[in-house]
Amino acid sequence: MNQLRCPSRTKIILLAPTMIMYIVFLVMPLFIAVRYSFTDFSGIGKAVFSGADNYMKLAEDRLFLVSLKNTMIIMGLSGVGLLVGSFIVALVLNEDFPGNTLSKAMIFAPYVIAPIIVGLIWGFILNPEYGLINSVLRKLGLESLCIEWIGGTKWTPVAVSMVFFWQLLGFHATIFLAGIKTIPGDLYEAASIDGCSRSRSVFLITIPLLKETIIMNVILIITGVFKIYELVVQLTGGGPNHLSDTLVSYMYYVVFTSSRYGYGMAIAVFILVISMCVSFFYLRISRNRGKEAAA
Amino acid sequence: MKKLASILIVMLASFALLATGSSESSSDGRVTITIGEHVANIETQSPHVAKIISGFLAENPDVDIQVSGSEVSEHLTKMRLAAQNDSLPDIIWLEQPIAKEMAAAGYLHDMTDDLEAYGINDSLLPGLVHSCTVDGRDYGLPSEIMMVGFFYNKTMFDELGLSEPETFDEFISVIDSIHAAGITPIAIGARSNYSVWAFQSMLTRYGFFEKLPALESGELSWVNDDFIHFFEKVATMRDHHAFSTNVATQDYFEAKEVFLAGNAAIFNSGAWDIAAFEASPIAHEMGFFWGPTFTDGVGDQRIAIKTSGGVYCISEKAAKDPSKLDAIMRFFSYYYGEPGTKIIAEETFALPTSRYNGQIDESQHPVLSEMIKKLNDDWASTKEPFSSLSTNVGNTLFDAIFGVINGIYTPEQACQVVEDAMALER
Repeated sequence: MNQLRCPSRTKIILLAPTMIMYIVFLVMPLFIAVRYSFTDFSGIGKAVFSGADNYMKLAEDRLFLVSLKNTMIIMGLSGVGLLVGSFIVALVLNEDFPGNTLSKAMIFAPYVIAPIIVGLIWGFILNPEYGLINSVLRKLGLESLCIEWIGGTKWTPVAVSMVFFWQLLGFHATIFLAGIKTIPGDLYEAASIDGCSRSRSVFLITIPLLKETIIMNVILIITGVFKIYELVVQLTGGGPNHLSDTLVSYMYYVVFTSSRYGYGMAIAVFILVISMCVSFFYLRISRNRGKEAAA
Repeated sequence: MKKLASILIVMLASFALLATGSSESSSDGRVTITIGEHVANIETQSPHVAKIISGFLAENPDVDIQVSGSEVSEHLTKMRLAAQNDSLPDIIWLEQPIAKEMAAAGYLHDMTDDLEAYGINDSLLPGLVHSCTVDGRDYGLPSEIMMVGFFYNKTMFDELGLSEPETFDEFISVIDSIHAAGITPIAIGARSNYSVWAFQSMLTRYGFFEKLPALESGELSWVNDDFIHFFEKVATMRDHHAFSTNVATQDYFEAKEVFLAGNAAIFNSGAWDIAAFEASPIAHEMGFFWGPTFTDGVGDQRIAIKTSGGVYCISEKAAKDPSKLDAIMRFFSYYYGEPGTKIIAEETFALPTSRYNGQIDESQHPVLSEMIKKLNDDWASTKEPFSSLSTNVGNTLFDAIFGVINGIYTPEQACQVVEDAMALER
């Protein structure tokens, strides 16, 4: 009865714990970060307002631009790879074959490993001096193919993309698989009767009906790339000389090693804004295309 | 609605209380001192501190000591956050640039008068009195002797017919011979960007401290001939294969293992590694030199970093409690007095920061003996450049040195990178 008389009060009480946590740990830090991004705060003492100086410096900071480039390379490589790869894996896992359950578990397994451990494992695989890949190549007499997977200036973002792909393939494949399972089987049956091959039915039925799943996966990949930190720290420490840093690892260096909190917060705000923009931009395009197709 | 507001206020208040904590003296007269250390495991990584605490507690039953610690960079991050929360430990280990920033911001206690009152300055080695000052006031006590240079494997040197180098030409000749023998000349890891101690010594031989005031005021740029010459020497070392090929993916601890395993002939480190080296199988094979002198250097070339490293500071909050401040100063009196110094020298075989008149058995402690000889040789002592720079500029200097080692920067670019960082603070 009480609930009927005042439903909003019950809702408020039920929501309050979550809202408090949300406000204290997400909204407030966000506003504090934005505030500090307009100061020259060093982490100690008073924060002096410095206007938009920190944001102006971003364009001139070579290391920031390198970390932005690296993040974009990782997004491009792992984004395309993950989207296509996890979709194909999901299609395969949707089939009945011996060992299907074991395959699902094995493909999903890397996702449950902490990124710092993933970095450690792959560090032993990719290390140019004693890593597994280069050791095997040397044993096979293919020394010319040995490259500086990590620690060099060229291949590190590619190596990070590769590891990120390995870790998240199972997760995104699972989302795709869940989506595929929701598509009614009689659609494929009808298509088959109409002479549609299995590969064509993937393009004509599966992909269009998985539109929302694809959007979700793309947004998860984009936001995931903007959060890459432990992998880089464990694999390369951002080196050599920050040339393999991503936006987050560079921000961490600026804030906690160089003690430039104000500037670091400007980078953090930039990361937030750009990840939101990319996600909204993608959502907008996808929704518009959906409307056009429906029309 | 009022009820709801009350619940929210109570929840927030409880949360705030939980977050703040308390470290006041207890009502039964016992005092608890909290110490924030820069090592994760005090028993194994700073055994002298652990033993001194045990000894002090045995003699002072009215005091409890709680130590928390983590690896240097993590520890410093925690201390910065703790300063903002007003929850610094009572005694804090800090690097000097951060200690000076915190002192200037009012987080640390001015211990000038207390050091005199408790006679601690009389115990310290003459060069280590007033180790960390801001506006002429003392804010830190030396936690260890910062004595840095190159350790080397004497057996390897003997087998290759090499002797301890002094000039840069001799140094390069030694590097060439070691490299020609298929051994990594110098073990070093760029992933620990701070591990450039011996290179900082080299920088002081290019007139760093003479130039510092002009660098700070902007009258002189980091892009000057002397500093370019310094970075050119680092580039020359790189070009002569002084460093291993995986320098970029290796850290300081891995580099140390490489050296101790006999896979490198030289290791750039300092006095804090004495205990680890004493325990290694090559303890009796270890030599030490200060690093090369330069014909194009500036000023006295026989100078070496023999100074205070990190410092122990007292939080301003702790000092407001007279009984706690007294307990802290009694602890420091023990640490820097005869009992603590004896523990450091005779039980943990490290270099004490206070006067020590005992004898060290050279056959039992070859590395410590070697270091004491070097500490007392005729090379003049100088400070560590990093301690005189801000955290940002200091870290940029480290990056610049490793940038040249890794072949990322030319000497001119390396100077420019540091100049850009310093320009932000002028």
